[in-house]
Amino acid sequence: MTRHLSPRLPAYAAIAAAALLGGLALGRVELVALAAPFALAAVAAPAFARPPKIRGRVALDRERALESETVAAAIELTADAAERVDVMLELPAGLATESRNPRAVALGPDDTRTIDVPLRCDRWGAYLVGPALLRARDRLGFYAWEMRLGGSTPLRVYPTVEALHALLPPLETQVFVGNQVSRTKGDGIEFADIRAWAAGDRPRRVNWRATARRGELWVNERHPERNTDVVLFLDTFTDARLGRRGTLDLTVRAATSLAHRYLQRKDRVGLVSFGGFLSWLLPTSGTRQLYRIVDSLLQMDIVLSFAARGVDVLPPRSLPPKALVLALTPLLDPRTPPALLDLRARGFDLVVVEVSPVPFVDEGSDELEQLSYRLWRLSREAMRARYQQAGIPVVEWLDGVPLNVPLEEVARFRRYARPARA
Amino acid sequence: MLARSEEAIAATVALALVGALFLVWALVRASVAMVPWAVGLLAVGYVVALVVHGRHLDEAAPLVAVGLFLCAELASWSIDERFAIPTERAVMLARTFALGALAFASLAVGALAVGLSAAPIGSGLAWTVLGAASVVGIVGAAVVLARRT
Repeated sequence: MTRHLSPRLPAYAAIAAAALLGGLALGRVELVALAAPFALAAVAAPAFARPPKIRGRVALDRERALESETVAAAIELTADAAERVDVMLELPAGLATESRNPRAVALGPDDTRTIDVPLRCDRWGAYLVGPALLRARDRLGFYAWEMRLGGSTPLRVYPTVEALHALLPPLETQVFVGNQVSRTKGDGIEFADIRAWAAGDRPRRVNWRATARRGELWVNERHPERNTDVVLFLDTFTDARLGRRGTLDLTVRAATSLAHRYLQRKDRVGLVSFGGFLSWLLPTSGTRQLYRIVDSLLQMDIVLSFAARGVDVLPPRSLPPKALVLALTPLLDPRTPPALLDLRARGFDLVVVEVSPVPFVDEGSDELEQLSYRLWRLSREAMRARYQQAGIPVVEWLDGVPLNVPLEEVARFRRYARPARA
Repeated sequence: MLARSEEAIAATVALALVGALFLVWALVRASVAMVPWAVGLLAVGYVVALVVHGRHLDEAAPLVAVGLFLCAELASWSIDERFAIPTERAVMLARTFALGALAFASLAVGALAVGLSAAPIGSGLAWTVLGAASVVGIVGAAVVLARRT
């Protein structure tokens, strides 16, 4: 607890002393009357000032919430007596409240008060709410005692998940059972082809219609249902931001939506955060993996680094063979394009979703700035053309456009452009 | 002789004006520390006016003192409330009551002092020594309090 003294009190004492001395020197009793209120205040304030004993805690009604949801925070206060207590709950950027924060309350002897502060979760992230900052004052505000109440309560705000109508199917599936119809032939439901009977074929696979027509046994072939490996490759080198929106926000929201949908399909999903701070999650399936991914995304931030980075620093298991690598990048940092081209050169099924920084960049007012802006746009188009030449589907995703749109664009691209095999 | 001159009256008005301007400046700058000194300047103006006026006792001195004190306190209160923190009614009432009680007590003490000075209870060295001792005691108490705080 820190005590503060109002600068009025020593000034009042000085005025009272000067007036009394003046009264004595000049022989004027009016100066004694003049000194009276200031002298009384200077004497009464310390005499009645008592440091308050305030106890309490800060509590949240839950630890996890979705963006735009409201979490109820409660500050419980108990005091022996405090004439005035200013209470403020320290809120990190990303959380806001429409209630009164700070507010001033009066606490009687052994009075217990609960102050409700509904918190609006404006942005995803891992937050620490609190502590509550208290400032108790005496009645006339001569003394103030400041303290912190309660610790920091963790609150995880998850990004909202966008409804995705269709997902990008990888070119190749894995060996485990899943929901993705494989291009290979085997045991499954989806019809693939017919072929002549061979020793070992089960009788139930015989296609009797084709057999009757051709006079020899023919059997059906089917596509098996397999799972896939998807690696979400996030470029966290740079963030283009304008106000409360930025490319990192879009990247995290898209990654959450994609992870959610792919994991629903029983696919294995991994995560690579390729930036100043390198981190990864090995591909796994299941709900637990979804929480792992989202928790990892919440802690994602832009870390400035000048270290040269390539994909060779990643552990091999983080990028399994035949995995679909979905890169979400604003294509701003010069270290990202070579890394992506390297991935493609290593034979990964790579798709680049360019989280466009264009809406977050000001075009400029004078001619030189506008020329620079146009050149920058042209250089980005040239980069995209370079990717397409390498057989990498690259689509631009603008803020405000549903994620379905770029995914559908990639699907259309892949319908006509198949990757070449070395 | 100087105190009764025209220049002294002009100085009184000037001091009062400077004090008022200083108070306005303190309010605009939201500086609680400046408020008592602005009020102090106003008080100096009043004292100069008293000296200029002559030996006549001013019975309104306790009211002037309480007025100056309330001026300082209300100015400080308004500066305290500049952040528009929503405040409960009980908090406002408690401060109003405390301020009123202090002003009333000050008025009573001031009136008692002025009344006693007008009463024919004698004069001389003993009263002067008693007055001086009281003043020294109060100033000493103020210094001790200031050092404690």
